[in-house]
Amino acid sequence: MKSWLGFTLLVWALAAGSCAPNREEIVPVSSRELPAHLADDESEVRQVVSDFERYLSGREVFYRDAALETYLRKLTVPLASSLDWPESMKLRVKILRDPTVNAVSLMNGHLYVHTGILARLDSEAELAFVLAHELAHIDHRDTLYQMINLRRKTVTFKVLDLLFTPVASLVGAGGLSEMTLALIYASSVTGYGREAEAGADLFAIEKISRLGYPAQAALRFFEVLMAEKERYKEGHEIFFLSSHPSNRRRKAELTEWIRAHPGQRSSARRGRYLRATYAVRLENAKLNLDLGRFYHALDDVAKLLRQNPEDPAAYYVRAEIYRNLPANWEKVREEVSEERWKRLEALGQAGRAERWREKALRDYRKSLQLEPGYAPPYRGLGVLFLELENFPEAKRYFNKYLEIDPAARDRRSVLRHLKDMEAMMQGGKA
Amino acid sequence: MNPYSQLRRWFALAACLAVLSGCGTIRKHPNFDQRSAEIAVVSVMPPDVLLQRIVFKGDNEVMYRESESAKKILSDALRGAFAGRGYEAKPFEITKALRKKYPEVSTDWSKLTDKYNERVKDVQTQFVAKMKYADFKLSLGADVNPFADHASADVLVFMVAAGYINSAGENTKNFFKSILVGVGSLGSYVPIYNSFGGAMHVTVVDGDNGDLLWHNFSPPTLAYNLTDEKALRKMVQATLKGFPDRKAAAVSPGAVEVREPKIEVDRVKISPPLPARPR
Repeated sequence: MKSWLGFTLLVWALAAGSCAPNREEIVPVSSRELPAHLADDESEVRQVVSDFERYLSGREVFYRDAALETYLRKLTVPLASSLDWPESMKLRVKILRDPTVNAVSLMNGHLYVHTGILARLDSEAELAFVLAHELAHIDHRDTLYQMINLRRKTVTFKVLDLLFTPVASLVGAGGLSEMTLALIYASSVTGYGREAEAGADLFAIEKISRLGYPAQAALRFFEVLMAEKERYKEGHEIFFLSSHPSNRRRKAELTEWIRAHPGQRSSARRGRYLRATYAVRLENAKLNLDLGRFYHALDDVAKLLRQNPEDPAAYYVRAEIYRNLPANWEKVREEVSEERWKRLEALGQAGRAERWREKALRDYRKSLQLEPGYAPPYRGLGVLFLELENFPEAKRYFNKYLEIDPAARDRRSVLRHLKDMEAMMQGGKA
Repeated sequence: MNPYSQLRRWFALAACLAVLSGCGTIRKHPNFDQRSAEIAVVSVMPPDVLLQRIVFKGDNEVMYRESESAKKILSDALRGAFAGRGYEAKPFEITKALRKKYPEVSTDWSKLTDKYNERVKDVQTQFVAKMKYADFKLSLGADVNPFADHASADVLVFMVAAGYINSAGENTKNFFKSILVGVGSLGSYVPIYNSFGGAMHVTVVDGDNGDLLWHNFSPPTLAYNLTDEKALRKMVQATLKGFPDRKAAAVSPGAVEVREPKIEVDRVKISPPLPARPR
């Protein structure tokens, strides 16, 4: 056991030695020209980036909202004002239709913000911190250095594998050696690395403070994301955190920075942010619902309803979530934290289903109360009563749905429900 | 969303399934036999394919061009396989004319693809955790309706596939590793590494309500080179083995009254009873 621990530590040491980047070597885009020996690597990365963007475009993965894109652009331009990038790098911000909490930057100056991170943030200041952080990754050429590190690490691990695995095979431990190396490798190639993240954090907090946002927004951002771990199972969510190491340390470093730089009173511009992102946050709730991330979706809607308690669409989405929960409780178990699940488990399966259906019914009705001509809740009520085998009520709501929206895209499924119900009712009579 | 993570997922899946290769891999909706009798027209949706070249230095390359050509071959192979079973099979294409008629088609298709990939994960979870057929009740919901309507199809066929091919450097490393491990274990164990591999899932989805009617994945015991047309066609045949031929009674959509929607329930044609399976 001791010798295995020694082996693991030796591998770590070798790997770390072979790949730790020297921050002094890093050449920001906006300061100096790239050394000739890195030029080929950079053009390779640019090619990968270009291929990747073409792939994304082909998949239509973008959330399109001209007003929100303008808002994001207006927010990003001042953050990038001090960066002297070549003309070939065009600053662009796009929104990826993805409910996970993440943001991505590419070396060509393009930033991608997930709908999921927009749903979790609370203010413009927090978003500015995220955007500035990603801009720093571009300016510091972190993707390029990450690729160079990845190559070094991979070659090191493969050479170590060639050396150690045959030796370990002598004592019948070849498989164990391979597995240990694979685990260490996998954990060492994730993210840009601690120093790159710290550098990006520092750039971001300085930048937002200079632009009049409260620096504390950076801390709140980390607090919001870390709180996710209490609500959801680790690894299920929180990409921004999982690919960014030592978050507590990062938060502590930023706290130190704030102490050393007492700022003036400033606004996080919470209201403006929440108004600008309302539609995308509703869309994110629907995405979470579609992907079976029910409690993430509930959290999204709860925030929307705190902001606008009179929104029929938000009530409708919440009703849909509750209606889908009873048939998907196993997914809920995978999604929420153990503590949260224990509370739900205490209700029992039937108790949970009853409670969820009651809530669905209440929310559909609330939605219709707020906007009687809104068609989707009628369809939802139809399905809910169908599930409860109350066919006359289900039929009434389905017909009302088709009456309000005769050209509904999903009319085929409604007609199928009606047809099936009719058959069941006939069967019952027979 | 990220192609690399998607590939990792697929290879992990392939490894898992290899362990379970002795078991049957086909999953059917509890009412599949009844519903399959109603299938006449099959629409083959654009397959979701991603291939990757594993290189020695680790910065693996996503093979976009090869993935595109694999998509076309797979779509054609699927169409041929269903046509060979007597169905009217046609590929679903997002054309300019369709975009004009249905502007959100690409976005809706992208969302549906994400949803399908999520359901495939559910199938894997059920497969590994439960190992039973009776509970195969998964659905894509009514989001399939516009696609089924535009294709005038009874069912939609979804496919997701991923594959890898090693570079010469990676193969050389594997070759030497085999020799070294063989020597190290005094010949008792000589690992053999594939220079390529791939996995695919095929699902037949009800165009009315989005229920997953039939699902299978490629036999995990075989290694396929997804850059090779013959291998792709063979893989489709192997995966669809077990899907029934068209029943003589099935009629084309349009001939059935429900295809011409009417609000009055009483006038909707009645079929044998089905248990409630909303969404």
